Amino acid sequence: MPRDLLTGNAAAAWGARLADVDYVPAYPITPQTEIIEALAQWIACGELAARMVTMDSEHSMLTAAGAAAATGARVFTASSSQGLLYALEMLYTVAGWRVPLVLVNVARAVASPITLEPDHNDVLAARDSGFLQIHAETCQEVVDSILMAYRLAEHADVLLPALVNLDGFYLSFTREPVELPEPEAVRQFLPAYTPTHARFCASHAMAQGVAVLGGSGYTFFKYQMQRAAEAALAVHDAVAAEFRDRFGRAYGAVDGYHLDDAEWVIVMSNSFSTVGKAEVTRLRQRGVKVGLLRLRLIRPFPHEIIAQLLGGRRAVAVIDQNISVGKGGILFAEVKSALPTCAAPPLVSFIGGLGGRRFRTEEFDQIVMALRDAENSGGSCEPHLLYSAGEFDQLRGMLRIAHGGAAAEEW
Amino acid sequence: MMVRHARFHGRGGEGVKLASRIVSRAAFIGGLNVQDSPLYGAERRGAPVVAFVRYSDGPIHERGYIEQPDLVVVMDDSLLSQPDAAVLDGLGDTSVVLVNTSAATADVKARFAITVHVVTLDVSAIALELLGHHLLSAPVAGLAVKVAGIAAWEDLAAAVRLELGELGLSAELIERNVSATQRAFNAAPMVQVFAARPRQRPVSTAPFNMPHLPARLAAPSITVAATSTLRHMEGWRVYRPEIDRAHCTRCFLCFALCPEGAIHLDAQNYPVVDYDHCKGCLVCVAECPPKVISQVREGHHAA
Amino acid sequence: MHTRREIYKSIKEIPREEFLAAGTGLCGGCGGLLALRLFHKALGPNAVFVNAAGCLTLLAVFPFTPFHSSWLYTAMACAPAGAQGVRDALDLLIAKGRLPRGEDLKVVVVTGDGAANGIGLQATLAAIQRGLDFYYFCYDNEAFANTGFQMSPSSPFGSRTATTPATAATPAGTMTHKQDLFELWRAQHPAFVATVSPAYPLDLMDKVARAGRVGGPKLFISLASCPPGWGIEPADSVELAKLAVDTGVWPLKEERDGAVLHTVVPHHFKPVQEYLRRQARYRHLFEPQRQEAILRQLQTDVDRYWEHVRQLEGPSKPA
Repeated sequence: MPRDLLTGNAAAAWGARLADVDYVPAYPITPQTEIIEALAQWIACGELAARMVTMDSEHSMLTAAGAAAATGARVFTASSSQGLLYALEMLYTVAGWRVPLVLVNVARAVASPITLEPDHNDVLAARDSGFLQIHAETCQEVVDSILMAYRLAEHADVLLPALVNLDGFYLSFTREPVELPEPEAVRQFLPAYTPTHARFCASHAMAQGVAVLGGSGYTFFKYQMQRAAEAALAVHDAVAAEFRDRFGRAYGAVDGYHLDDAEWVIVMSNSFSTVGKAEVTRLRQRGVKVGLLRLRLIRPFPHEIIAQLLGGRRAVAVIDQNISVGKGGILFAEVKSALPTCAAPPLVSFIGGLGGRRFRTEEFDQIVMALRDAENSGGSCEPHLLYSAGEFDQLRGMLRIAHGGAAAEEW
Repeated sequence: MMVRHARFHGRGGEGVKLASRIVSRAAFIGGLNVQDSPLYGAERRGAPVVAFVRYSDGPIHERGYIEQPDLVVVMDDSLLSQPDAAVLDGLGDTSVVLVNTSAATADVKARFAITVHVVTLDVSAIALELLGHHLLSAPVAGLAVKVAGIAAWEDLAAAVRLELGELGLSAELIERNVSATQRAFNAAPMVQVFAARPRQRPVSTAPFNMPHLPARLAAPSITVAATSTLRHMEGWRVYRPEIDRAHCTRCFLCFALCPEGAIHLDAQNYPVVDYDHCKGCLVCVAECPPKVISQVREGHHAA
Repeated sequence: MHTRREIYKSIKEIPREEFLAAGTGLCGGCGGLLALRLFHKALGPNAVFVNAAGCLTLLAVFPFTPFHSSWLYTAMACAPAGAQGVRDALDLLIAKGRLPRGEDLKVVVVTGDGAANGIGLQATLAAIQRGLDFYYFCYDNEAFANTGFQMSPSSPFGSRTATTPATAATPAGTMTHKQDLFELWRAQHPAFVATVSPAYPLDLMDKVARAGRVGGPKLFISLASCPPGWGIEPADSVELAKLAVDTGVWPLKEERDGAVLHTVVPHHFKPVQEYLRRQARYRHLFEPQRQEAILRQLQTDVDRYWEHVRQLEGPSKPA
């Protein structure tokens, strides 16, 4: 199929369509709704032989999704922020059932305060659930990752559900050129789902998701999930290699930009990595030997390759577009844990892009300065917030309005 | 004094937790330092329940499962034949085992190859006689406190009144419990329970490397139908139903109303009780119109 | 007196096959277990039970299941959503030729009153509104029993629970009135909705069998006597489930042709107190002194209900 302009949401819908999914339980939430609207249209017109059912909440939606997968169908669903968190209990449950499905999360910052633009507190809240996680930078990567996610989730060594993340607005509503793979080629890459263990049918009684009492029993089942997620690293490599051979686009557990000879590395994820890459280009032109490491596979977390790629650098900055209140950046802590205690580069933590707040060019200069300091000081755990005095002035103006001049004056 | 460890075993609904709390309360009233805790699953009857009591005249820097008990209290003798109840695990040379049973002590020791000191007492009989119900907690506490010399009688009686009072039992029922406790206390011998030196544990091996199994085995699922029939429930019974076939009218009611489906109809349509799975709820006894099903005290399960 | 039964007329017609095997860890005398056993006999084989958290979740504890049927435990709020997923997947797999039609299953949601009311209402009403082809079997022991018998929306006024003790300020124990799940469900226009009691097995099984003739939501609420929670002897489990009906406290009814029809109506109603005084959860109404006002109200509530029934359905006629 020729290249066309597609939004991230349209790309996600096409991923489900090309995967020839059977079942789409749905519930609307900004900024994901266009995905289910597109699918509804195609299903109504007979262009996709699937069944869509609008459920009563995201919690019910994930339950129906997992139950249908447990019955033997290929399932697709999508949500965002509040909806993902409303379903959180069921993410753990469905992963524990060991059934494959793909859930697309369109990242959106989480209430309170309620907002619409993206950050990653929603998707990262799910990181312990047992769902695999792939984070996309471009609309092309969205459709490609969905197809690979089905291969990954349905693989006999894995059989865990998978989540593909794309940023709200900056991917979901942004159009970019996307090459859609030919349906026949996709069918070769991703044949129909044939359940190897989870199914419901009259001739084979099966009890699924049964209670397990006692620590030894529970530990066994939980750790099997861990083993399956670990196996997913090698499976991902193989699936990605096959995808590259068939479709010409290569994806890894991480994505490196100007890494080879980089003395300084900035670690980012998702769509704002494009901004980071542009900044790296600019800094390189000024002679700063900086590179960017984009985290793509969040679960399983690729410890080894991260340690390999960050080892030997003069300092590393991690930009988290999220915050674990009371601790700091989530990915900072995860990256740091992947590095050996000795011979690890100094690390600095930055928080930016919360609620979709855009980065400023000068902030990357700020980051380079911090990297140079860190080389000498050894780095620190304390997060540095990317924000400006100008923004704060504006904020003060709004406080004056909200609470009256006198109340805001002391600030 | 070193910390002494008592481990109580019974089935849900028999009052294991309450028994352990009466014992620890008695020790506490007597001025000792104590820690008590139960281990059970969802609130339901019949499943093995464990409770722990630690008591000492000094601090107790321990917590959790008592692996090496000085005193084991077996409130339900059917658990002796249930390996997963782990009733006899971790016994040391000086450990003492108390068993609520009508079986003879020597028979219990022989049947279950117990080499340490065993004390048996038919606490169930005391409870049924003095309380009219199979409420074991207080008399079991009486047995345990006397055997191990944990507390004086006055402290034990106070503990019974306090712990049962917190449950909102009537004053009359509480006093009957005190009587039952006294009966057990008086009938029980006193045995010195030494806190043994921590026993040598087997040398631990290298950390276990969990293998990666295929999903059909690694998911919490069951692919064989009706595996529950492998579980035998006779240990739940205090009474068993016995059908007088000669006077049975074959009305089918007991078959219909058994919640477990443990009454089948034979080729002549007479009801037959499946004693492997009958829990002794006695609904059949209550519902039989000609009253030809009688309830018979279940024999002991030990030996 | 009871309405004419169409399929199960004699206790001797009860199928002998046990679809629910023995060996579960449920309490001896569990009314919910008896009701489910009878339900499954009338339902027949080839079913999948989708369960929400409650006492009957412990039916299947690894590696033991009593079912010859299939089973899926979901969570507390969402068994009907799980049923939706299973039903839809079976339908589409059969439609796409990936599963033979003979492999189809009846989809049954089984939950207690705790998961059916409150937390589970959202998913249930939505499933009914979508016209999902499923059964819902609710065993109502009138509390959150599995967690130690705390008050649920189904706990009756005047009953004591672990979180609604009888005190001077709260003399009835539970001061709120039982949520009417039957009417909440009925308002969504399901294909079939009925109340049942395990003490009336033929009424229960006939309803299940007749419901099997229609597609869409087929909903059942069974009284489930709970020996540990109600404070009764396990042996009295069936008798209490009968007294509840004979005193008029637990009406046996269904919706037929758009109207509510009572299927078992006592000739002479026994006084409500005969049912209450047998249970420890109502003991505070009798000891240390009788709470006449509450007892009177409980009798009046029942009397009013049946007066209303007489107005709508006419005087009881023999079958």
